[in-house]
Amino acid sequence: MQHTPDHILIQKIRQGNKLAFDSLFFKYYKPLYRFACNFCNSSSIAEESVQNSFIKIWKNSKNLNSDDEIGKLLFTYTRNEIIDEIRKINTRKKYENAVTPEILTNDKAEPTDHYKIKAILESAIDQLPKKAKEIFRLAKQEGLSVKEIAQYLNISTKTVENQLTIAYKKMRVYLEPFKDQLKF
Amino acid sequence: MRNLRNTLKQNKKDQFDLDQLMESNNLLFSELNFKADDSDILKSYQQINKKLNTTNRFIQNLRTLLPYLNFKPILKPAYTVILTTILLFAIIEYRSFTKPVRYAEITVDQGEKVTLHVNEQFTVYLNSGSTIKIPMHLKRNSEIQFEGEAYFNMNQDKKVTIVSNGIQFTGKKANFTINTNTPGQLVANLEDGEINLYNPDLPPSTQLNLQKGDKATYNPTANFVAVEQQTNKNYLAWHTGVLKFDQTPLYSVIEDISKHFNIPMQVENKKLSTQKISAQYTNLEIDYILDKIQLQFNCQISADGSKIIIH
Repeated sequence: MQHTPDHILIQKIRQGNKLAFDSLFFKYYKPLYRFACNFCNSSSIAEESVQNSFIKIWKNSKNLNSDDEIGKLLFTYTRNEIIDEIRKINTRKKYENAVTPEILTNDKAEPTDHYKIKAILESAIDQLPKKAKEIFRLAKQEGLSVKEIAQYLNISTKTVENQLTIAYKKMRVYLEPFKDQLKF
Repeated sequence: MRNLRNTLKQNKKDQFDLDQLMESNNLLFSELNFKADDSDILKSYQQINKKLNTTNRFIQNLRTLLPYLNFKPILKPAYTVILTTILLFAIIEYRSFTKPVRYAEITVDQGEKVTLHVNEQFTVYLNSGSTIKIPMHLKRNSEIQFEGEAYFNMNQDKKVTIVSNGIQFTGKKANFTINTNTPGQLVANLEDGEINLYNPDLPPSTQLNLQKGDKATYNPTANFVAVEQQTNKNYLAWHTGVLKFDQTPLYSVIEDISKHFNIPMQVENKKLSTQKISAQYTNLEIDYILDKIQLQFNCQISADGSKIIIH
Protein backbone atom coordinates (compact mmCIF):
# COMPACT_ATOMS: atom_id res chain seq x y z
CA MET A 1 0.00 0.00 0.00
CA GLN A 2 1.32 3.41 -1.01
CA HIS A 3 1.34 6.18 1.59
CA THR A 4 1.98 9.81 0.91
CA PRO A 5 4.51 11.26 3.35
CA ASP A 6 3.34 14.06 5.61
CA HIS A 7 5.49 16.79 4.04
CA ILE A 8 3.94 16.12 0.62
CA LEU A 9 0.47 16.15 2.18
CA ILE A 10 1.23 19.58 3.68
CA GLN A 11 2.31 20.94 0.30
CA LYS A 12 -0.89 19.75 -1.30
CA ILE A 13 -3.06 21.01 1.55
CA ARG A 14 -1.41 24.43 1.21
CA GLN A 15 -2.55 24.44 -2.41
CA GLY A 16 -6.10 23.73 -1.22
CA ASN A 17 -6.11 20.07 -2.17
CA LYS A 18 -9.05 18.59 -0.32
CA LEU A 19 -8.06 15.00 -1.15
CA ALA A 20 -4.75 15.52 0.63
CA PHE A 21 -6.65 16.87 3.62
CA ASP A 22 -8.91 13.80 3.55
CA SER A 23 -5.85 11.52 3.49
CA LEU A 24 -4.47 13.35 6.50
CA PHE A 25 -7.81 12.98 8.27
CA PHE A 26 -8.08 9.24 7.69
CA LYS A 27 -4.46 8.73 8.69
CA TYR A 28 -4.56 10.63 11.97
CA TYR A 29 -8.18 10.54 13.13
CA LYS A 30 -8.00 7.26 15.07
CA PRO A 31 -4.70 7.93 16.90
CA LEU A 32 -5.85 11.47 17.73
CA TYR A 33 -9.20 10.21 19.01
CA ARG A 34 -7.41 7.62 21.18
CA PHE A 35 -5.03 10.28 22.44
CA ALA A 36 -7.91 12.65 23.19
CA CYS A 37 -9.90 9.94 25.00
CA ASN A 38 -6.87 9.04 27.13
CA PHE A 39 -6.45 12.72 27.90
CA CYS A 40 -9.99 13.71 28.84
CA ASN A 41 -11.99 10.51 29.39
CA SER A 42 -14.90 11.91 27.41
CA SER A 43 -15.74 10.64 23.94
CA SER A 44 -17.84 13.70 23.03
CA ILE A 45 -15.08 16.16 23.99
CA ALA A 46 -12.52 13.97 22.24
CA GLU A 47 -14.54 13.85 19.00
CA GLU A 48 -15.21 17.61 19.02
CA SER A 49 -11.58 18.47 19.80
CA VAL A 50 -10.17 16.25 17.06
CA GLN A 51 -12.61 17.68 14.51
CA ASN A 52 -11.73 21.23 15.51
CA SER A 53 -8.01 20.47 15.19
CA PHE A 54 -8.50 19.32 11.60
CA ILE A 55 -10.65 22.38 10.84
CA LYS A 56 -7.89 24.58 12.24
CA ILE A 57 -5.33 22.89 9.97
CA TRP A 58 -7.54 23.41 6.91
CA LYS A 59 -8.34 27.03 7.73
CA ASN A 60 -4.69 27.88 8.38
CA SER A 61 -3.43 25.77 5.51
CA LYS A 62 -1.88 28.85 3.83
CA ASN A 63 0.36 29.37 6.85
CA LEU A 64 1.53 25.78 7.02
CA ASN A 65 5.21 25.21 6.48
CA SER A 66 6.39 22.14 4.62
CA ASP A 67 8.91 21.65 7.44
CA ASP A 68 6.09 21.50 9.97
CA GLU A 69 5.56 18.15 11.58
CA ILE A 70 1.88 17.92 10.87
CA GLY A 71 1.42 14.94 13.19
CA LYS A 72 2.97 16.81 16.09
CA LEU A 73 0.89 19.88 15.22
CA LEU A 74 -2.32 17.86 15.23
CA PHE A 75 -1.58 16.28 18.60
CA THR A 76 -0.77 19.74 20.05
CA TYR A 77 -3.92 21.30 18.58
CA THR A 78 -6.05 18.45 19.95
CA ARG A 79 -4.55 18.79 23.39
CA ASN A 80 -5.15 22.56 23.39
CA GLU A 81 -8.70 22.13 22.16
CA ILE A 82 -9.40 19.68 24.99
CA ILE A 83 -7.97 22.04 27.59
CA ASP A 84 -10.08 24.91 26.22
CA GLU A 85 -13.21 22.77 26.18
CA ILE A 86 -12.64 21.51 29.73
CA ARG A 87 -12.03 25.06 30.94
CA LYS A 88 -15.33 26.15 29.39
CA ILE A 89 -17.17 23.24 31.03
CA ASN A 90 -15.58 23.97 34.40
CA THR A 91 -16.53 27.66 34.20
CA ARG A 92 -20.09 26.75 33.23
CA LYS A 93 -20.39 24.23 36.06
CA LYS A 94 -18.98 26.77 38.49
CA TYR A 95 -21.69 29.28 37.56
CA GLU A 96 -24.37 26.58 37.69
CA ASN A 97 -23.14 25.80 41.18
CA ALA A 98 -22.91 22.14 40.34
CA VAL A 99 -20.25 19.63 41.23
CA THR A 100 -17.70 19.52 38.43
CA PRO A 101 -17.31 16.03 37.00
CA GLU A 102 -13.85 14.65 37.39
CA ILE A 103 -12.09 15.05 34.10
CA LEU A 104 -8.46 14.27 33.72
CA THR A 105 -6.85 17.61 33.06
CA ASN A 106 -3.28 18.58 33.22
CA ASP A 107 -2.51 21.92 31.64
CA LYS A 108 1.19 21.38 31.87
CA ALA A 109 1.14 17.94 30.21
CA GLU A 110 2.67 18.19 26.76
CA PRO A 111 1.62 15.72 24.11
CA THR A 112 4.91 13.91 24.57
CA ASP A 113 6.08 11.03 22.40
CA HIS A 114 5.04 8.61 25.12
CA TYR A 115 1.34 9.58 24.89
CA LYS A 116 1.43 9.93 21.13
CA ILE A 117 2.99 6.53 20.58
CA LYS A 118 0.61 4.96 23.07
CA ALA A 119 -2.33 6.38 21.11
CA ILE A 120 -0.89 5.28 17.77
CA LEU A 121 -0.26 1.75 19.06
CA GLU A 122 -3.73 1.50 20.55
CA SER A 123 -5.27 2.56 17.27
CA ALA A 124 -3.11 -0.06 15.53
CA ILE A 125 -4.35 -2.74 17.92
CA ASP A 126 -7.89 -1.53 17.45
CA GLN A 127 -7.92 -2.40 13.74
CA LEU A 128 -6.89 -6.04 14.35
CA PRO A 129 -9.43 -8.83 13.71
CA LYS A 130 -11.20 -9.87 16.88
CA LYS A 131 -9.49 -13.27 17.22
CA ALA A 132 -6.01 -11.98 16.43
CA LYS A 133 -6.49 -9.11 18.84
CA GLU A 134 -7.51 -11.41 21.69
CA ILE A 135 -4.55 -13.75 21.11
CA PHE A 136 -2.18 -10.78 20.85
CA ARG A 137 -3.58 -9.40 24.14
CA LEU A 138 -3.17 -12.77 25.92
CA ALA A 139 0.38 -13.03 24.67
CA LYS A 140 1.45 -9.47 25.39
CA GLN A 141 -0.68 -8.22 28.22
CA GLU A 142 -1.27 -11.50 30.13
CA GLY A 143 2.17 -12.84 29.24
CA LEU A 144 0.89 -16.31 28.24
CA SER A 145 2.92 -18.62 26.03
CA VAL A 146 1.64 -19.98 22.73
CA LYS A 147 0.88 -23.32 24.37
CA GLU A 148 -0.98 -21.70 27.26
CA ILE A 149 -3.04 -19.56 24.90
CA ALA A 150 -3.91 -22.66 22.83
CA GLN A 151 -5.01 -24.49 25.95
CA TYR A 152 -6.96 -21.51 27.27
CA LEU A 153 -8.80 -20.90 24.01
CA ASN A 154 -9.04 -24.61 23.20
CA ILE A 155 -7.37 -24.19 19.83
CA SER A 156 -4.21 -25.59 18.28
CA THR A 157 -0.81 -23.98 18.84
CA LYS A 158 -0.55 -23.61 15.07
CA THR A 159 -3.69 -21.40 15.03
CA VAL A 160 -2.26 -19.27 17.83
CA GLU A 161 0.99 -18.81 15.91
CA ASN A 162 -0.89 -17.95 12.71
CA GLN A 163 -3.08 -15.41 14.47
CA LEU A 164 -0.05 -13.79 16.10
CA THR A 165 1.62 -13.55 12.68
CA ILE A 166 -1.51 -11.89 11.28
CA ALA A 167 -1.59 -9.48 14.22
CA TYR A 168 2.05 -8.46 13.79
CA LYS A 169 1.74 -8.07 10.03
CA LYS A 170 -1.38 -5.95 10.26
CA MET A 171 0.20 -3.80 12.93
CA ARG A 172 3.33 -3.31 10.85
CA VAL A 173 1.24 -2.26 7.85
CA TYR A 174 -0.80 0.12 9.98
CA LEU A 175 2.26 1.60 11.68
CA GLU A 176 4.26 2.04 8.47
CA PRO A 177 2.93 5.58 7.71
CA PHE A 178 3.82 6.60 11.28
CA LYS A 179 7.41 5.43 10.81
CA ASP A 180 8.84 8.93 11.27
CA GLN A 181 7.06 9.44 14.51
CA LEU A 182 7.64 5.96 15.92
CA LYS A 183 11.31 5.80 14.92
CA PHE A 184 11.54 2.06 14.38
CA MET B 1 9.36 -27.42 7.89
CA ARG B 2 11.31 -24.72 6.14
CA ASN B 3 8.09 -22.66 5.83
CA LEU B 4 7.39 -22.94 9.55
CA ARG B 5 10.97 -21.91 10.33
CA ASN B 6 10.59 -18.90 8.04
CA THR B 7 7.30 -17.93 9.69
CA LEU B 8 8.84 -18.13 13.15
CA LYS B 9 11.82 -16.09 11.91
CA GLN B 10 9.49 -13.52 10.47
CA ASN B 11 7.47 -13.51 13.72
CA LYS B 12 10.62 -13.03 15.71
CA LYS B 13 11.66 -10.14 13.47
CA ASP B 14 8.26 -8.39 13.80
CA GLN B 15 8.07 -9.05 17.51
CA PHE B 16 11.53 -7.65 18.01
CA ASP B 17 10.69 -4.34 16.35
CA LEU B 18 7.55 -3.89 18.40
CA ASP B 19 9.21 -4.82 21.66
CA GLN B 20 12.05 -2.45 20.93
CA LEU B 21 9.59 0.31 20.13
CA MET B 22 7.80 -0.29 23.41
CA GLU B 23 11.02 -0.35 25.35
CA SER B 24 12.48 2.76 23.75
CA ASN B 25 9.35 4.71 24.68
CA ASN B 26 9.09 3.30 28.20
CA LEU B 27 5.80 1.70 27.28
CA LEU B 28 4.43 -1.53 28.71
CA PHE B 29 1.82 -3.68 27.02
CA SER B 30 -0.13 -3.59 30.28
CA GLU B 31 -0.53 0.18 29.78
CA LEU B 32 -2.21 -0.24 26.42
CA ASN B 33 -5.96 -0.14 26.16
CA PHE B 34 -7.14 -3.12 24.14
CA LYS B 35 -10.79 -2.07 24.27
CA ALA B 36 -12.23 -1.06 20.92
CA ASP B 37 -12.84 2.68 20.68
CA ASP B 38 -16.36 3.89 20.04
CA SER B 39 -15.46 6.43 17.39
CA ASP B 40 -17.22 6.58 14.05
CA ILE B 41 -14.66 7.91 11.61
CA LEU B 42 -17.11 8.26 8.72
CA LYS B 43 -19.60 10.20 10.82
CA SER B 44 -16.79 12.50 11.97
CA TYR B 45 -15.65 12.90 8.38
CA GLN B 46 -19.15 13.97 7.33
CA GLN B 47 -19.44 16.37 10.28
CA ILE B 48 -16.10 17.99 9.56
CA ASN B 49 -17.00 18.50 5.89
CA LYS B 50 -20.30 20.04 6.92
CA LYS B 51 -18.51 22.46 9.27
CA LEU B 52 -15.94 23.38 6.63
CA ASN B 53 -18.60 24.00 4.00
CA THR B 54 -20.78 26.21 6.20
CA THR B 55 -17.93 28.36 7.45
CA ASN B 56 -16.16 28.72 4.15
CA ARG B 57 -19.07 29.08 1.76
CA PHE B 58 -19.71 32.77 2.43
CA ILE B 59 -16.02 33.73 2.34
CA GLN B 60 -15.46 31.62 -0.77
CA ASN B 61 -18.41 33.27 -2.50
CA LEU B 62 -17.14 36.68 -1.50
CA ARG B 63 -13.63 35.89 -2.64
CA THR B 64 -14.96 34.71 -5.98
CA LEU B 65 -17.12 37.80 -6.41
CA LEU B 66 -14.73 40.50 -5.23
CA PRO B 67 -12.33 40.50 -8.19
CA TYR B 68 -15.23 40.83 -10.61
CA LEU B 69 -16.86 43.74 -8.81
CA ASN B 70 -16.08 47.14 -10.27
CA PHE B 71 -16.42 49.67 -7.50
CA LYS B 72 -15.44 52.75 -9.49
CA PRO B 73 -18.87 53.59 -10.95
CA ILE B 74 -20.45 53.15 -7.50
CA LEU B 75 -17.96 55.27 -5.57
CA LYS B 76 -18.99 58.69 -6.89
CA PRO B 77 -22.75 58.30 -6.30
CA ALA B 78 -22.01 56.70 -2.91
CA TYR B 79 -19.91 59.68 -1.82
CA THR B 80 -22.57 62.08 -3.10
CA VAL B 81 -25.35 60.27 -1.19
CA ILE B 82 -23.32 60.16 2.04
CA LEU B 83 -22.27 63.82 1.84
CA THR B 84 -25.80 65.00 0.95
CA THR B 85 -27.24 63.04 3.90
CA ILE B 86 -24.69 64.57 6.29
CA LEU B 87 -25.41 68.05 4.90
CA LEU B 88 -29.17 67.58 5.22
CA PHE B 89 -28.86 66.43 8.83
CA ALA B 90 -26.63 69.42 9.60
CA ILE B 91 -29.12 71.85 8.02
CA ILE B 92 -32.07 70.30 9.89
CA GLU B 93 -30.17 70.47 13.18
CA TYR B 94 -29.06 74.07 12.53
CA ARG B 95 -32.57 75.17 11.62
CA SER B 96 -34.07 73.56 14.69
CA PHE B 97 -31.59 75.52 16.84
CA THR B 98 -31.98 78.86 15.11
CA LYS B 99 -35.74 78.69 14.37
CA PRO B 100 -37.67 81.16 16.56
CA VAL B 101 -39.72 79.32 19.16
CA ARG B 102 -43.46 79.49 18.52
CA TYR B 103 -45.61 79.82 21.60
CA ALA B 104 -49.21 79.02 22.42
CA GLU B 105 -50.66 81.60 24.80
CA ILE B 106 -53.61 80.94 27.08
CA THR B 107 -55.32 83.50 29.32
CA VAL B 108 -57.91 82.30 31.78
CA ASP B 109 -60.98 84.53 32.22
CA GLN B 110 -61.96 85.80 35.64
CA GLY B 111 -63.93 83.19 37.58
CA GLU B 112 -62.78 80.39 35.25
CA LYS B 113 -60.28 77.58 35.72
CA VAL B 114 -58.43 75.74 32.99
CA THR B 115 -56.68 72.39 32.99
CA LEU B 116 -53.90 72.23 30.42
CA HIS B 117 -52.46 68.83 29.44
CA VAL B 118 -49.09 69.79 27.95
CA ASN B 119 -48.26 66.11 27.45
CA GLU B 120 -48.91 62.80 29.19
CA GLN B 121 -46.47 63.61 31.98
CA PHE B 122 -47.13 67.31 32.39
CA THR B 123 -50.40 68.99 33.41
CA VAL B 124 -50.95 72.61 34.44
CA TYR B 125 -54.05 73.65 36.43
CA LEU B 126 -54.59 77.38 35.87
CA ASN B 127 -56.57 79.57 38.23
CA SER B 128 -58.64 82.50 37.03
CA GLY B 129 -56.80 85.50 35.56
CA SER B 130 -53.66 83.51 34.79
CA THR B 131 -51.65 83.70 31.58
CA ILE B 132 -49.34 81.02 30.26
CA LYS B 133 -47.11 80.96 27.17
CA ILE B 134 -45.98 77.45 26.20
CA PRO B 135 -43.62 76.57 23.30
CA MET B 136 -45.47 74.61 20.58
CA HIS B 137 -42.77 71.92 20.81
CA LEU B 138 -41.28 71.32 24.21
CA LYS B 139 -37.55 70.73 23.82
CA ARG B 140 -34.57 70.83 26.08
CA ASN B 141 -34.01 74.35 27.42
CA SER B 142 -37.46 75.52 26.30
CA GLU B 143 -39.09 77.99 28.68
CA ILE B 144 -42.70 78.39 29.75
CA GLN B 145 -43.73 81.95 30.61
CA PHE B 146 -46.32 82.24 33.36
CA GLU B 147 -48.21 84.90 35.36
CA GLY B 148 -51.05 84.32 37.83
CA GLU B 149 -51.77 81.27 39.94
CA ALA B 150 -51.29 77.69 38.82
CA TYR B 151 -50.60 74.20 40.04
CA PHE B 152 -47.92 72.40 38.01
CA ASN B 153 -47.98 68.61 37.98
CA MET B 154 -44.93 67.26 36.16
CA ASN B 155 -43.48 63.77 35.97
CA GLN B 156 -41.12 64.15 33.01
CA ASP B 157 -37.76 62.77 31.98
CA LYS B 158 -36.69 66.09 30.43
CA LYS B 159 -36.28 69.22 32.53
CA VAL B 160 -38.77 72.03 32.02
CA THR B 161 -38.21 75.66 32.99
CA ILE B 162 -41.05 77.93 34.00
CA VAL B 163 -40.29 81.65 34.08
CA SER B 164 -42.44 83.82 36.27
CA ASN B 165 -41.66 87.40 37.30
CA GLY B 166 -38.16 86.83 35.95
CA ILE B 167 -37.57 83.86 38.28
CA GLN B 168 -36.77 80.48 36.73
CA PHE B 169 -38.28 77.29 38.19
CA THR B 170 -36.62 74.18 36.72
CA GLY B 171 -37.68 70.60 37.44
CA LYS B 172 -38.56 67.20 36.05
CA LYS B 173 -40.68 65.41 38.61
CA ALA B 174 -42.46 67.78 40.96
CA ASN B 175 -45.86 69.11 42.02
CA PHE B 176 -45.89 72.79 42.94
CA THR B 177 -47.83 76.02 42.80
CA ILE B 178 -46.75 79.45 41.64
CA ASN B 179 -48.72 82.50 42.62
CA THR B 180 -47.93 86.01 41.38
CA ASN B 181 -51.35 87.48 42.22
CA THR B 182 -50.16 89.37 45.30
CA PRO B 183 -48.64 92.63 44.01
CA GLY B 184 -44.87 92.83 44.41
CA GLN B 185 -44.61 89.21 45.50
CA LEU B 186 -44.18 85.74 44.06
CA VAL B 187 -44.99 82.68 46.13
CA ALA B 188 -44.11 79.10 45.22
CA ASN B 189 -45.17 76.08 47.27
CA LEU B 190 -43.59 72.72 46.62
CA GLU B 191 -46.02 69.93 47.39
CA ASP B 192 -43.86 67.04 46.16
CA GLY B 193 -40.51 66.37 44.41
CA GLU B 194 -37.87 69.04 43.99
CA ILE B 195 -37.27 72.11 41.82
CA ASN B 196 -34.50 74.61 41.29
CA LEU B 197 -35.25 78.25 41.74
CA TYR B 198 -32.93 80.72 40.06
CA ASN B 199 -32.86 84.44 39.55
CA PRO B 200 -30.87 85.12 36.32
CA ASP B 201 -29.99 88.60 37.62
CA LEU B 202 -27.95 87.00 40.39
CA PRO B 203 -24.86 84.77 40.20
CA PRO B 204 -25.53 81.03 39.58
CA SER B 205 -24.30 80.24 43.10
CA THR B 206 -27.50 81.82 44.45
CA GLN B 207 -29.56 79.05 42.86
CA LEU B 208 -31.91 77.43 45.40
CA ASN B 209 -33.08 73.85 45.58
CA LEU B 210 -36.62 73.62 46.92
CA GLN B 211 -37.64 70.42 48.69
CA LYS B 212 -41.04 68.93 49.48
CA GLY B 213 -43.03 71.21 51.83
CA ASP B 214 -40.96 74.35 51.09
CA LYS B 215 -42.52 77.74 50.50
CA ALA B 216 -40.46 80.30 48.59
CA THR B 217 -41.40 83.97 48.59
CA TYR B 218 -39.68 86.29 46.16
CA ASN B 219 -39.65 90.00 46.71
CA PRO B 220 -38.62 91.75 43.45
CA THR B 221 -38.01 95.08 45.15
CA ALA B 222 -35.45 93.60 47.51
CA ASN B 223 -34.40 90.99 44.91
CA PHE B 224 -34.57 88.44 47.69
CA VAL B 225 -36.02 84.94 48.03
CA ALA B 226 -37.16 83.72 51.45
CA VAL B 227 -37.60 79.97 51.94
CA GLU B 228 -39.62 78.52 54.84
CA GLN B 229 -41.71 75.47 55.63
CA GLN B 230 -45.31 75.79 54.45
CA THR B 231 -47.72 75.11 57.35
CA ASN B 232 -50.94 76.30 55.75
CA LYS B 233 -52.27 73.74 53.31
CA ASN B 234 -55.07 76.00 52.08
CA TYR B 235 -52.88 77.47 49.35
CA LEU B 236 -54.29 74.71 47.11
CA ALA B 237 -57.92 75.31 48.04
CA TRP B 238 -58.72 76.93 44.68
CA HIS B 239 -57.62 73.66 43.06
CA THR B 240 -58.89 71.07 45.55
CA GLY B 241 -62.10 72.96 46.47
CA VAL B 242 -61.53 72.36 50.18
CA LEU B 243 -60.73 74.86 52.92
CA LYS B 244 -59.56 73.10 56.04
CA PHE B 245 -58.83 74.54 59.49
CA ASP B 246 -57.57 72.76 62.55
CA GLN B 247 -57.62 74.74 65.80
CA THR B 248 -56.91 77.87 63.77
CA PRO B 249 -57.52 81.38 65.23
CA LEU B 250 -60.48 83.13 63.60
CA TYR B 251 -58.35 86.01 62.31
CA SER B 252 -56.22 83.49 60.39
CA VAL B 253 -59.33 81.74 59.06
CA ILE B 254 -60.74 85.08 57.85
CA GLU B 255 -57.37 85.86 56.23
CA ASP B 256 -57.48 82.60 54.21
CA ILE B 257 -61.11 83.17 53.23
CA SER B 258 -60.30 86.75 52.22
CA LYS B 259 -57.39 85.53 50.08
CA HIS B 260 -59.42 82.74 48.55
CA PHE B 261 -62.37 84.92 47.53
CA ASN B 262 -60.21 88.02 46.96
CA ILE B 263 -62.56 90.07 49.17
CA PRO B 264 -61.17 92.29 51.96
CA MET B 265 -62.36 91.06 55.37
CA GLN B 266 -61.71 92.22 58.92
CA VAL B 267 -62.46 90.96 62.46
CA GLU B 268 -63.29 93.94 64.65
CA ASN B 269 -63.99 91.97 67.82
CA LYS B 270 -60.47 91.41 69.18
CA LYS B 271 -61.64 88.81 71.73
CA LEU B 272 -63.35 86.88 68.98
CA SER B 273 -60.39 87.08 66.62
CA THR B 274 -58.20 84.83 68.81
CA GLN B 275 -60.84 82.15 69.26
CA LYS B 276 -59.90 78.88 67.59
CA ILE B 277 -61.89 77.04 64.99
CA SER B 278 -61.73 73.52 63.43
CA ALA B 279 -63.71 73.12 60.27
CA GLN B 280 -63.62 71.81 56.74
CA TYR B 281 -65.51 73.67 54.02
CA THR B 282 -66.11 71.75 50.83
CA ASN B 283 -68.89 74.05 49.61
CA LEU B 284 -66.78 77.07 48.74
CA GLU B 285 -69.51 79.72 48.69
CA ILE B 286 -68.70 82.82 50.74
CA ASP B 287 -72.27 83.20 52.05
CA TYR B 288 -72.32 79.58 53.18
CA ILE B 289 -69.00 79.90 55.04
CA LEU B 290 -69.94 83.23 56.69
CA ASP B 291 -73.29 81.75 57.83
CA LYS B 292 -71.42 78.85 59.45
CA ILE B 293 -69.03 81.25 61.26
CA GLN B 294 -71.92 83.46 62.37
CA LEU B 295 -73.75 80.43 63.79
CA GLN B 296 -70.68 79.09 65.55
CA PHE B 297 -69.61 82.37 67.24
CA ASN B 298 -73.00 84.07 67.45
CA CYS B 299 -71.48 87.23 65.92
CA GLN B 300 -72.67 89.94 63.56
CA ILE B 301 -71.35 90.21 60.01
CA SER B 302 -71.79 93.31 57.94
CA ALA B 303 -70.37 94.94 54.82
CA ASP B 304 -69.49 98.59 54.32
CA GLY B 305 -69.14 98.47 50.54
CA SER B 306 -65.38 98.00 50.52
CA LYS B 307 -64.93 95.09 52.98
CA ILE B 308 -66.75 92.52 55.16
CA ILE B 309 -66.61 93.20 58.89
CA ILE B 310 -67.08 90.65 61.67
CA HIS B 311 -68.25 92.21 64.94
